[in-house]
Amino acid sequence: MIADALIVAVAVTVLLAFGYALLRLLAPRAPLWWFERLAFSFLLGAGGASIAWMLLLPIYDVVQPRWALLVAGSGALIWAWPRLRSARDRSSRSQQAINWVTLAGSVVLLFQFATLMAASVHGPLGWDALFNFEFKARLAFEHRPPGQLPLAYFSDPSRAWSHPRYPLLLPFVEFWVYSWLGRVDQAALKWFLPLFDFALIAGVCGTVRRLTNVPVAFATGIALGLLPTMTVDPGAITGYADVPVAAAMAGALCCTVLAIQTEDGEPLRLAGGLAAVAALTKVEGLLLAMFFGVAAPLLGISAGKRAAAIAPLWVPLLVMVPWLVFQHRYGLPEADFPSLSPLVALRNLPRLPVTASLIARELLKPGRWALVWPAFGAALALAMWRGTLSGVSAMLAAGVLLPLAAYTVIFLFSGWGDFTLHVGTSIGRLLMPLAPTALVFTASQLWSST
Amino acid sequence: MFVGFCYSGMATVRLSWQLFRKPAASGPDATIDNLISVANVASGQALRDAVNGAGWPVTDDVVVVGDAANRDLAQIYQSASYLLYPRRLWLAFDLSAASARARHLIVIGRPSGLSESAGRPISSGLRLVDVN
Repeated sequence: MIADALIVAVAVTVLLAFGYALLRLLAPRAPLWWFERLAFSFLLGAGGASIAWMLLLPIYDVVQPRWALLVAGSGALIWAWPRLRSARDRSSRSQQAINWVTLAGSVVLLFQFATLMAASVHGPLGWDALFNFEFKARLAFEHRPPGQLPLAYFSDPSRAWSHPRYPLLLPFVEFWVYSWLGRVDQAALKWFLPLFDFALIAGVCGTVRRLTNVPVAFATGIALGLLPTMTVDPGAITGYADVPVAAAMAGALCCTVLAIQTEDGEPLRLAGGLAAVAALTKVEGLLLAMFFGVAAPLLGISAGKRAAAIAPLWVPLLVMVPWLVFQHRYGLPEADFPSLSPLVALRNLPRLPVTASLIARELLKPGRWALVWPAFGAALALAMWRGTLSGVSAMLAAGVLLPLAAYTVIFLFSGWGDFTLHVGTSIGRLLMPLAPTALVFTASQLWSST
Repeated sequence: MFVGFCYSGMATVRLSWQLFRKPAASGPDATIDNLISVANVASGQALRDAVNGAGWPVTDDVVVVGDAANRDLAQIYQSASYLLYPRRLWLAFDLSAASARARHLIVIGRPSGLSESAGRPISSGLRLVDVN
């Protein structure tokens, strides 16, 4: 078991190295904290390597994917080395003296993470994690030559239960771990899953730290760790895609706030890269990246930076268009939302109040969400009353409200016989990437340093 | 908000406690073994071995058939599909539809129209049946 954990650690460290190089290439001078660099490197490494995995598919007949990716990644590192060396580290390592708040907050966060890691290793993968993601990793690992997925898989209706249309970032990371282990091992995957939770907490704490102060940043991170939906049910430990999407979007948000505060366009490239990671993880990630990519330049970024600010819009589109074209050409028809015709929406209009009521009921479950959503509503009302709903706060509010509105409308197109079942089974997970943004907005409104 | 997070924190502790009280999911196939166990099959490998032992070619389709009221049917179907790849598995709720679709059936429970002794039982809840 310890040997497996060490091998997984090596596999993750290689991804981190790739990710760190990407981070430095995208934003060499961005003043990030160490935990942000670590978190974003992990996410970018997973995203970048999964793109490389797909690009290198044709050569797996002659080279094993692990070696192909190692050579490609090392080549990229060597190519980028001069730039990596010259990148000036403007990180804020000396800005914050360690005091009792930092110490106590760190101890609590560490305890939460250790508990989560123990729970992850102890429990099994979740249903979707096994059938939608791990299954594809297993197919790729057992395929001859390894690393490829059979083309027929994507159009085979007898495999529809495994959702062949889902993007492949998580299956790739799991395949990557299997490649290093040399075997399929569902239990070994559990060692790295909590890293997505770390990445989420890091992105949220970094954003809140920039908008408020250190104690509020720690409190927000700790509060996120108290939400069962983000931790154990389904949370980070079951291997579902929602926490990874939330982590990538929290990172994109963090970099956008940094860009606004420093009036520097560079972190926006990083935001674009992280939004692309969200899109590569799940289709909702693309949707969120689109909303965010539109809201950021309209609401949060000054006119001079708007050209750079659309990076969160075009980078995810750039990486996802080939996948969408591939799915259109070879994939199964979309079963959950078979038609997006306005006529379908018009016919199903009576669903709207039912969906809204189901979503509202979900938002008010304190055992799942604490009071994140009512607090968000109160903070929104407060911001409107005080007239502070502009710039960053408007961008944050839009980052929650636009997707929420979209989620209410999208079920007009649901192809399920009982659409309320569709809403009921998916709304909790759809809300997971929005909850951190809602929490950041609330914290920034209540304890704004500006 | 403080009260809310105390409440959700208690829910997190309770769910974590429930998780830790269950046996650890160790082993390379821990998750799939757990899922297929609802059909009283010892492990995923046991089902694979049984199907291979029955001589079902990997190119032949297989139908999982059971009572639509069986709440575990979808779980067994997906687990079997996962385990028996690259065989293509389908789901049916009655024997005649299943028999029309494929020569190999995985029968869950005791659907009407099938004698007690038909097929090879793998467990008390699952047996392999060849259609002539």
